Amino acid sequence: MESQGFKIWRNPASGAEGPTYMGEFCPPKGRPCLYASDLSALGFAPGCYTVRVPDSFRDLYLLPPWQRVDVR
Amino acid sequence: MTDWDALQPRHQRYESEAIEWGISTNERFELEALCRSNLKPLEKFDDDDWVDLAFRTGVAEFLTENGLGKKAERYPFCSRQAFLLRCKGNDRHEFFSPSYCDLRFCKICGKRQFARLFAKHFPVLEFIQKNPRRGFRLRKITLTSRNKGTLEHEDITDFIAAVKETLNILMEGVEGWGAIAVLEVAFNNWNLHAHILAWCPYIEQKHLAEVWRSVSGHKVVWISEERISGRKALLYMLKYVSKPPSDKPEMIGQLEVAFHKTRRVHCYGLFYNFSGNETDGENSKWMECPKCGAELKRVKGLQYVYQMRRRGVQFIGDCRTERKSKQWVN
Repeated sequence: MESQGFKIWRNPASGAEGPTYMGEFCPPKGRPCLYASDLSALGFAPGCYTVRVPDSFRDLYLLPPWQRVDVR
Repeated sequence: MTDWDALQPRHQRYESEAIEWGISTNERFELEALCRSNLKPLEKFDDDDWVDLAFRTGVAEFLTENGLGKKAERYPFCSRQAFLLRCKGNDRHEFFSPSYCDLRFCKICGKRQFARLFAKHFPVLEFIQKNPRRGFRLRKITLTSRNKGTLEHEDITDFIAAVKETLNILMEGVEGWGAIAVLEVAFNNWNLHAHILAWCPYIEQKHLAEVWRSVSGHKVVWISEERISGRKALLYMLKYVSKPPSDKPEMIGQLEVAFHKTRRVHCYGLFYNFSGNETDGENSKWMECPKCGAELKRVKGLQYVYQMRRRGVQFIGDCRTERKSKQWVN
């Protein structure tokens, strides 16, 4: 069964090999996606992150499969 | 020019990372394309962008599964990466030149192949126009095969051999004939056939069908005299090279596998090597700085286009003011 969390990767810096997997997180209850403030609250450093939206959220809220979050 | 050999075989790493992170290989390719996205930010993606991304990563996954990992790495990133070119002049001008995947069924590279092939084969048609021969005409021939529901590499090579043998039988004893054949499948269909533009004397349809059946075992053929100019006929023929024949990633992947190390366009007789050795590759290299004329050197390795644009590096194609014969093909 597919996990219900949002998988998050930190985008690679220039010249880096690839993205860094940060883990799986869920947005606060009732929220369809993760915001930059959510990631800040989770302790993510400033930077650009790519987030995979789980199927259940895609179907329910008609979201695209990926989102990008900029933490400033 | 594309120097893909300099790249690491990343597809193996992608596969193991996909398992480790609990996503599909397809999604791993998508992630790679998105986390290093081109100029268009993810937030501005429209439906077409999502469709294109899903399509390219789907093809890449198929190619990976079928042992064409290097091609799988190139396909999703076609023209997103580039080489840095730096001049040896005092100002050290910098430009970027995109790196293309050069896959046969890529919708970006298909158009480039079309331009390259047209430039290569047009001179023979000019020659024909200036040197008419009694009884000789440009004729369009179509040779078809049975639809098997799929295509393997052997089907392609057998078909090419049959086309060659058929033309050789039909033209036995004829001097000065020539032909160019383009292999094609119908859209979302595995019906392999060849469109041939032949410069030859009259061939009876019945005789053509008999020879084709005896050589290949297939039945359907079609022949007509070409009433439009050779230029238009060549454009018509080569248009098949410029368009992907499917909107299904698995089919494009299977076609890439089937056509691996095999040409789609073949020349015979007068048309064979008419323009001499191919110089497209040489002429498409930028040897001089378009700003100061100093020698231009390629910096080793690939970089992402969006990163170079951010640094203010200019696309070298924008500096092209005048296109000379053959040099217009990048």
